Amino acid sequence: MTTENPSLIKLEGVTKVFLTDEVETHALSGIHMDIRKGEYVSIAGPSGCGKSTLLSILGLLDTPTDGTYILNGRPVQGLTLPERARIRNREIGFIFQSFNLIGDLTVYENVELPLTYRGMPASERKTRVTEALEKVGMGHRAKHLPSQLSGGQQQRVAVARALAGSPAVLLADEPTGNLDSKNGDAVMELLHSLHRAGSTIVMVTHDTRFARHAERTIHVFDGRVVEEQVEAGSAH
Amino acid sequence: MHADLRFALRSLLKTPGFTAVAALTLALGIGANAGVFSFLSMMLVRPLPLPAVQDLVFIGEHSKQVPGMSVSYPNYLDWRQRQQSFTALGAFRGQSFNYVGPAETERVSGAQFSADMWPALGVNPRLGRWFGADDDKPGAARTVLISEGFWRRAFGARDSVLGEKLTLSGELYTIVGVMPADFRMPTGTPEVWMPFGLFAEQNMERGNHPGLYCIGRLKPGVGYDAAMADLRTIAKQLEQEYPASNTGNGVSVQRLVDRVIGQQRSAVWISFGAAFGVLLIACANVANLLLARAAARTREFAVRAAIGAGRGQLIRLVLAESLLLGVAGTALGLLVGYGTMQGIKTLIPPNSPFVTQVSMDGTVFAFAVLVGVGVTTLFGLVPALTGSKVNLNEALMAGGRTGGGHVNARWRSVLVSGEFALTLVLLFTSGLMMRTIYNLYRADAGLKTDHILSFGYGLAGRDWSEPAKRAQLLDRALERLRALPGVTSVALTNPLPMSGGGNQTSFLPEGLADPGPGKRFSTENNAASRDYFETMRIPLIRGRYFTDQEKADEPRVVIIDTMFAETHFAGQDPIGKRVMMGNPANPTALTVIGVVGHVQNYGIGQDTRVQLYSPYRQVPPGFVSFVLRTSVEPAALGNSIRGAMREIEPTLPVFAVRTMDEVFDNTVTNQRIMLTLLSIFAGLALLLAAIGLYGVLSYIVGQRTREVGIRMALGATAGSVRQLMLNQGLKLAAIGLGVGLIACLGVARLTASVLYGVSPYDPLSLGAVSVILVAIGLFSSWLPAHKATRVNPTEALRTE
Ligand SMILES: Nc1ncnc2c1ncn2[C@@H]1O[C@H](COP(=O)(O)OP(=O)(O)O)[C@@H](O)[C@H]1O
Ligand SMILES: [Mg+2]
Repeated sequence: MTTENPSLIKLEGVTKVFLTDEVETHALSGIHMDIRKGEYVSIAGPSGCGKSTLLSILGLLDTPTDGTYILNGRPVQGLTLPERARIRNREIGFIFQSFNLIGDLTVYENVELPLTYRGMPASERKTRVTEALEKVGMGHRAKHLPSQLSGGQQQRVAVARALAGSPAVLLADEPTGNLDSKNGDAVMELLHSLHRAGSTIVMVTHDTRFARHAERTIHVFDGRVVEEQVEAGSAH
Repeated sequence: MHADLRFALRSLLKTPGFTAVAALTLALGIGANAGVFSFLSMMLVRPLPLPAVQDLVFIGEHSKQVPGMSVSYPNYLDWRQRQQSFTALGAFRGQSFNYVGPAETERVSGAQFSADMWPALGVNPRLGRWFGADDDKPGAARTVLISEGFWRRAFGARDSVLGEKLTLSGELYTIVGVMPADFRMPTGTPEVWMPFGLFAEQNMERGNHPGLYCIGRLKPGVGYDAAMADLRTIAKQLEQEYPASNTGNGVSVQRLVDRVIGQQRSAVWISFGAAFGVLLIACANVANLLLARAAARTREFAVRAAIGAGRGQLIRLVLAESLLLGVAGTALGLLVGYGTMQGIKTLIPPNSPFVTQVSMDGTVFAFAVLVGVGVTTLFGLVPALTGSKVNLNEALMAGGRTGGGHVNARWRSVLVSGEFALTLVLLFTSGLMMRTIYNLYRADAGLKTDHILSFGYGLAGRDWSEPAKRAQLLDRALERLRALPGVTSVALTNPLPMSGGGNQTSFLPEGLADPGPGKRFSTENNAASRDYFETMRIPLIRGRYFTDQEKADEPRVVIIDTMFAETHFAGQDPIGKRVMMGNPANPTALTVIGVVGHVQNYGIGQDTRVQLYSPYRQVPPGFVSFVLRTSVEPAALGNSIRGAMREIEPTLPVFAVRTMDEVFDNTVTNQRIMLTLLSIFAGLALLLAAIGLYGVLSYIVGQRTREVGIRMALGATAGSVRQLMLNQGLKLAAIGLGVGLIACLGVARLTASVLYGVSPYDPLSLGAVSVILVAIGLFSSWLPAHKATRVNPTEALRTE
């Protein structure tokens, strides 16, 4: 770990309580966390322990019930909705377990979408999209619809979409959960190479095979961080 | 099936909102249709309460000058004798009479029939007998048949009425029969019928066309065309035999049904088309609701299929529901339809032979049931088929979120675009109707109808056969009416403009060589009193009005209209010119003393001719209309007029008391009814289409929740999400608009005949209704689009 790297994500006492039908679910109960630029962090824990909730908060899709979240040195609390949308668009790249490509749009258009929201001119979008698709090895499938691709290919497109806008951090929620092991390996390899090229990655996974790619694994149980583990053989 | 129905009922009641909206929508569509269909079915199925109506033929005459001319009595007698196509050929004309009742004198409308009319029409009296050939000739004992209504009103429905006497316009008639309640003349609702033969002597002049028309019943096996050829041959023979009177005269033949329905036909069809459009839209909405329901129940169906329900069973279940909905919608629809029919009836003038006849009979009932149940079953089937074909695995795994949703949304989008297309057509057509009515009321009729009260006055019968006596009575009446408070000027005329009647006479300008029979000119021939033109605000262009000085025994003077002057005295000063009228061998000379503006005497936009007015003192008519210009609300003067006229002559009734505005309104009845119906239907269509779009877009937003979540995760703002959904709604509206615009062009040909002063392609109306439609599209998309911005992305993206 390199101490001179500034803190990108800092959580202090973050809690999340869901209120449904008079039942309170404490999904997160006081999370402290510090992730630096260029890190590759894996979050592990049993199903229902709050991993996805945590990632949603990191990605500004949801707000914590309590606690502070400082992203890039700036508290996100009190940001307006358009400001949050802007940060999601520029600073964050999402990769989901179920790919979440938009079925009516082609591979190219899917990757282009976040750039469009940014108001980027078409020519620059084209360069970026092509570059991103090449990076994940899907350049030849630009005109296809997601339904014409295999799961592994879809997830690679989703990765391309996440990194096309050069976000500060990639958030991946069980990106291999819907893939067979061969495709899963390929996607993991892809994330690994992105990290080597400098990307910051926060990945949720309960597959210990993949956790070894990460430099650090944070274990969550019942809404709390129970253990942090630094991979012995990690890069850097 | 019983169990299915019970279950269907239960599940419909479990979703009262859906059930109520679907049934009400259906009821509105069916109701609008059943209401209008009651008129259409009457028009198509039983246009007249007569047996074998399709075999009845209506016959008139025509010449170059008068395209729609009545039949000369001697011509009729020859036709009757020589024809070989009809089992019976009758002649008739309408005529009203003054009836001196026990309490008051009143005007009753009646008809003079040749004896052959009865076998031709094929109706039997309810009581007594027809009059026969022996009654139908000059000098015969006077006999009369009375209507069922008159019999009840004036004779207490006594069976002993036969043989009783009745005084009509000063003559005593013996009652020989009572007509059945539903008997109605094609042209009106008479209360008394007497033989025309009694009046034949005054009508033996072959050149005289005294308002008679003929009705013939085709012999079995004789076609309409053959009968027409038969009559034409006879008319040719008569032309040769009587060149002086018959040259250039032909016979006009028409099916009686066409004659009766003719003017209403396009109005009824257009109204029905509009109602049908509403029905289609309602059906589309119901289909949409059913599709949405099917989509929401994909998981239920999957579970049912998983535990072993066959495809047939699933289909039955859905069909049972649609059937119940259809029955409920139809029942409600019949109620709405009854209201619609009654509503339309109030728009039709009460003396129209249509009104009383229209009812919600078996045909209408069958139509409503067929449409209501048929439509729900049909549209129930689509969801039943797609609903029963769900992919079990997918539906169960995806928690009922997906499964046929895309196909479903596409169908529903097509339906909604169709609704918008139809709505555009309805809006456009009612827009055209609105402009038509506006133009009709704004058009210059040549006179001013405001603040004028008119009434009819008949000086018929033996007592009034003396022209001088008629003139004296009319003089006194004018004077008495002028003294009434609130009256600023009084005049009389015949016929009253825009009341449907007209007199035409042939004439020659003086000095022109007689071009021979059939080639002389023809003019509207009116009578008027001194103040007529000022009362009606008909402008004087040259010369002068009548004075009180025109005497019966002095040379005759006339006032002509500008059209007459331009047609026959172009480039000359018409004042002092003379026109020759009457028997060409010994014509009467009429000197022109004035020129007045032309009057649209048959209604705005109708064919009209050159016009000529004679002072009533020189030709005192037996029938006149008084017109009073008032400083007060004209309708309020009715009673004081009746009082004043009773003082002057108690035996002559005042009738048809109407403001001139009402008289004018009657000339645009068709258009007014169409405007009313079209506006209501277009409004209904707009409402239903808006609801439809709202429903579909809400559904689509629901379908796209996950997509919205993804977009938000990628940085979409609320504004861009709203725009996305609004665009979707507007796209559906725009497709509808495009299709609708094309449809409007197609419909133009149908509406052209009822429009006035506006093109059936009117770009202004088209533009205006397009804007309305887009606005409604935006309006009904707003709420679902806004809902899309409230999507919680984490929830949308969570997989269970
Ligand atoms: N929107 C929500 N409403 C209510 N409860 C929720 C919601 N999202 C998550 N939860 C609950 O919070 C807990 C953590 O969920 P989640 O973060 O999805 O866990 P994981 O991703 O680790 O499996 C679970 O008990 C889940 O049921
Ligand atoms: Mg999770």
